[in-house]
Amino acid sequence: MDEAGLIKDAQQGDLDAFNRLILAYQDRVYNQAFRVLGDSQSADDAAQDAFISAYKNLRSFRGGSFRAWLLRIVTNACYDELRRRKRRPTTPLEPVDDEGDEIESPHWIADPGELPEDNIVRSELGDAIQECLDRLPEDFRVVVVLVDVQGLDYLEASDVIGKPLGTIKSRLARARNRMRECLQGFWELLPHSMRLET
Amino acid sequence: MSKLERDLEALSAYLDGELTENERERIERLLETDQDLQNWYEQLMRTRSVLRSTPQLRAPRNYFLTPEMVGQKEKRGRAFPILRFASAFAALLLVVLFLGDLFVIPKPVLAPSRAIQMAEAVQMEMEQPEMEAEIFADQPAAAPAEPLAEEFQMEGESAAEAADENISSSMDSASTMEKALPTQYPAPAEEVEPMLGGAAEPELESDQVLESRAPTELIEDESQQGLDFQAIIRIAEFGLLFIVITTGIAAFYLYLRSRSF
Repeated sequence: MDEAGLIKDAQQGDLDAFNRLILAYQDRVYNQAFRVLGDSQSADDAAQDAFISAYKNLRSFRGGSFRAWLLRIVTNACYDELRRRKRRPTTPLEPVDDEGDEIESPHWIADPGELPEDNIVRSELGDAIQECLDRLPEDFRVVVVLVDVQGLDYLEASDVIGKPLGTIKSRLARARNRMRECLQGFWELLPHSMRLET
Repeated sequence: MSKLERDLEALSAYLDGELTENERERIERLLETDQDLQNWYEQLMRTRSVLRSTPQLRAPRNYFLTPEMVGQKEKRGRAFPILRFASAFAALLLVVLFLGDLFVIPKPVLAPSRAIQMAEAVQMEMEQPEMEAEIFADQPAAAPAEPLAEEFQMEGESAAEAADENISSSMDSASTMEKALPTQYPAPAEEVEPMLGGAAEPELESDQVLESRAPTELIEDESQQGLDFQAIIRIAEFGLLFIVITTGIAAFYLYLRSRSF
C-alpha cells in the first residue's frame, strides 16, 4: 500500500483512497477506542466519528506518522465520550443470573467461535486486562494503551496526546505500577512463559 | 516526587530504552545493588509483557465513508440538482425533437407541391388535344404568343431547357410562329430564341405555362412556410443543445468542486 499516495489522493477529495486507509487502520483505531472506553458500542461510535473527523481534517495532516495522527483523533473522540459520560452518567445493563446476582463475564461478551481452551484463557486474560485498564485514571489509561498496547514510542505518544515526554514517562510508570497491582489477582491466567519472564 | 517514585519512573523508561546514557548507567548500578528495585523491575517487565499480549480485537465492521457521511452531497449546493435536472431534461427534449424532425415531421416544402405538379401534369395530358386544336385555330392572330413569351422569359432556364427538348419535334409549328412574331414583336435576344421557338409551339406552351406557373407560386409559398418551420426547429435544437452543454458543464464543475473540498 502506497500510504503517502493514498493520503495525497484523499487530501484532494478521493474518498476511495481514504477508505483504503481506513481498511488498513480500522482495527488499530477500534482497539484504541475499545481499550480506552471499555465497551464495544462506544468504541464503535468513537471509531466511526474518528474516521469522519479525520477525513474532514485531512488537509491539516502535514506528514509524519499517519498512525499517530489517527490515534490522536480517536483518542480525542474517546475523551469527548468520557466527558459526556461524566455529564450524563448511565447505569450499564449487566446480565444477572437466576438468583439476581450480576454475571461478571457474560457469555455474550465472548466470541462464540472461541471454543478451544487456549482461546478461552486468552479471552479471560483480555477481560482481566480490560478490567484493570478501566480502573486506571483516564490520562494514565490513554498513555499505557498507546505505548504498551498500540506499541508507540514515547515521542509518538507525546505527539498523540500533546504532552511533553516527561509527562509520558511519569504517567506510564504510574499506570504500569497500578496495572501490576491490579493484575496480581489474575496471575493464574497468565501463560507460563510470561510468569517466568525476567 | 520521592526518590522511590523517581527511580520507579526511571526504571519504566529504562525498560523501554528511553533513558539518556547517564540515567541508564545510574539505573543499571542501582539494579546491581538494590534487590527490591530488581524485584520491582521483574514485575514491571511481566506487567508490560501482559499488556503487550492484549488480544488485538478486530473492528466489528468496516468504517468506510460515503459522500453523504462526510457531507459531500451538501457541498454541491442547491444548484447542483437543478442544473443536473435541467441538463438531463434538455438533452431528452433535444433527442425527441431531433428524432421528430428526422422521422415524424413532414417536409411541407416538397410533398404537396410535387403532388400538385403531378396532378396538373396529368390533367394537361388529358386536355392536350383540345388545346392543340384551339391554338392552331388562333394561329394567324398570334396574339397569345406575347404573354406566353413574357412568361417564358420570366420563367428562365427551366422553361428554356424544356423548350430545347421540344424544338426538334415541333419544327413545323415553330416556323409558322416565326413568320407571325416579327410582325408584331421586336426580335428577341439570342438566348431567348430557343424559348420563343418553344413557346411558339402550342403543345409546349400549354405544358410549360400550366405546369410551372401556378405550382411555382405554390412551391414558393410552401417553401417559405417550410423554411420558416425548419428554421424554428433548428433554432430550438441549437437552443436546447446550448442548454444541455452549459448546464452540464456547470453541474460537472459543482460535482468536482464538492469532491475536492
